[in-house]
Amino acid sequence: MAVRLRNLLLSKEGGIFLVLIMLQILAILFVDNYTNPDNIKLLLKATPSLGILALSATVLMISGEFDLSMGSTFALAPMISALCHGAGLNLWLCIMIALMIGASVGLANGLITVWTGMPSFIVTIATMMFWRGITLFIAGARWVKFKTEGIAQFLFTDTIGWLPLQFIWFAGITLILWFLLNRMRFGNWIFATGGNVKAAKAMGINTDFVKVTCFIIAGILAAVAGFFESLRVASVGPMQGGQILIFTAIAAMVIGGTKIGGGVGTVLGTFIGAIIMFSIQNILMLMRVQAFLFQLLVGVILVSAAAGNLLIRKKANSLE
Amino acid sequence: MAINLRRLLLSKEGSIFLVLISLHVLAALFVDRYTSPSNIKLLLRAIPSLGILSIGVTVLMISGEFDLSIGSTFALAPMVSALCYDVGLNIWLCVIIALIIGAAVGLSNGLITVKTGMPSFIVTIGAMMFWRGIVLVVADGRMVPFELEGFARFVFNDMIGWVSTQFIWFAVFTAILWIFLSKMRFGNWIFATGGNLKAAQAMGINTDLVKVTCFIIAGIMAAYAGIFDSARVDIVNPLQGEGIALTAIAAMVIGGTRLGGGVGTVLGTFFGASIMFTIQDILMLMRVSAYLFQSFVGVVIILAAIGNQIAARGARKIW
Repeated sequence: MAVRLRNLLLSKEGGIFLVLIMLQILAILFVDNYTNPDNIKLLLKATPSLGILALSATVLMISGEFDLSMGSTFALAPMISALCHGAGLNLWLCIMIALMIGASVGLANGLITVWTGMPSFIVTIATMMFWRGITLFIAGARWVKFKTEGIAQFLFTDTIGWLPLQFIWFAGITLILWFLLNRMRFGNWIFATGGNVKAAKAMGINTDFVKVTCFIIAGILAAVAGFFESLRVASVGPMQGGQILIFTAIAAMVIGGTKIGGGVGTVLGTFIGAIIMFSIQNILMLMRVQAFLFQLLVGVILVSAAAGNLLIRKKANSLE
Repeated sequence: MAINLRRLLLSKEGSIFLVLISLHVLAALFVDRYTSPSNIKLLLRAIPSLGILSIGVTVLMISGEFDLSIGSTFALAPMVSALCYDVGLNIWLCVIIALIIGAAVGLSNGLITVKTGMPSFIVTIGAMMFWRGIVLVVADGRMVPFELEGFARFVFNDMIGWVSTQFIWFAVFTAILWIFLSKMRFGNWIFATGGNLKAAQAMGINTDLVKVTCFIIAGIMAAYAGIFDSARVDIVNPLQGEGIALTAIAAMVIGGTRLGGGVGTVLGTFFGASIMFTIQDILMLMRVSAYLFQSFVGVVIILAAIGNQIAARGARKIW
């Protein structure tokens, strides 16, 4: 039993899980109002938006690519959805539309990336600007109402006891992705493509197909994340999904153990990483620390964690 | 004479120059108030801010690296400068402080990139957030006045006849960097490093030194650009420069610089930046939503990137 526990703690996700526990303990002890029921509810309700976005980045990152446009999808998909719903369209149809927009943006990103051979971050920076401009133009810089009723309201914004359904969705999506990555052949292909494209191709894997599919998954998840965030505040802001959120999601991914170079990653780690990042943001807010210090912190965390991962890998390689 | 002119116009920079001229002609014909004196004055005074930033980034791009944090430097350097000036420090000292800050940010970006081996865009994304946070903290979230007087004002924000002093600076910097890149050995090293890193190292070039130097150049140019922009509007906005990195990338690729490194031209960027800002100006005059300019920048980057790829593939087929 002790050996099992030790193995668990020393696993990839074990380390970051310890960090999470310690962070929570320190927060509970030293930060006023952290354990306030309203605050806990906020934590559980808001983390999934960040978390699902981080999962989106993770799957794609494992295949070796970035999607910096996920912030624009985060705004565009629920925006269109909200406008359709406002015009009277059936809610479930609107949800489908949101998912399709996410998938289409992902498809476009993927096709441009594999066809031109351009680094994905350049492609997605450009598509990010493109879609953001479109979103702002459609919405005219105003917020669009987005309310749901009945079953939808229960499924996406309500709570079962003390646990909000968004969080259940977050955990569920994490499990589905874990299953895809670790128990399905396609997941294997994703790791292979990210690890070494040439080797993967030599093994007969259609790496272009793998990458484009990951872009589509990432796009859909970004749309889902935006969807949850919009329902949480009952409106869609055309500027939502800004830089800070995106890079916080990437930071969550990196501290969770996913490598920037691709080929290595864990959705469980991202799950934990997202909770950590949002908790930090929450703690700083409760301590009345200025918002821009969080931005600073995200920058530091992102670069240190990524550098740390890289240096550890270099050390490991040199020891072999 | 005619043959030389033709070859000149068909060169990379030549074709971009033609695009720029056509753009101006069309705008002068079809866009109201484009040729109004105040608009022309605006163009001449504002283009250099984007332009100086872009040529610095071009040098770095040729060496194969990105710096997405230049937007934050664009705010940080003049911000600190303005605060020093506010407390009475000599203006020239303040300017030098700004340049040192630009160089320091560039140095840190460069060192982190070469020492950790991380992709420069990740490093500089982190740096961008970090320094932006610092600017906001230092400025306490408010705008800081930056009104220059006397000789300083003449140097940084004035008109000589119909041309602005900023534009003269822009042209001078472009010329200096052009000489640096094409006539000096170090410039050769920059192209080599960007073109094929391993080959450059095999030739004995210290690619780490080359890259870090290019980061420093980009940082200094960003600081200069920030000074010009703040001097122009007499104020430093802690949020200035957000998103300018991407417009600079667009300017760069229009001008013919490859995103992969190894190929580039500051003269092309000179024209490219002029084109980008001119388009922004035209859209504003035509009362087109500013948001669509953002989308436009995205499209430009993609198209230019695709164009670069096609050109590169075409070249490879000839091999």
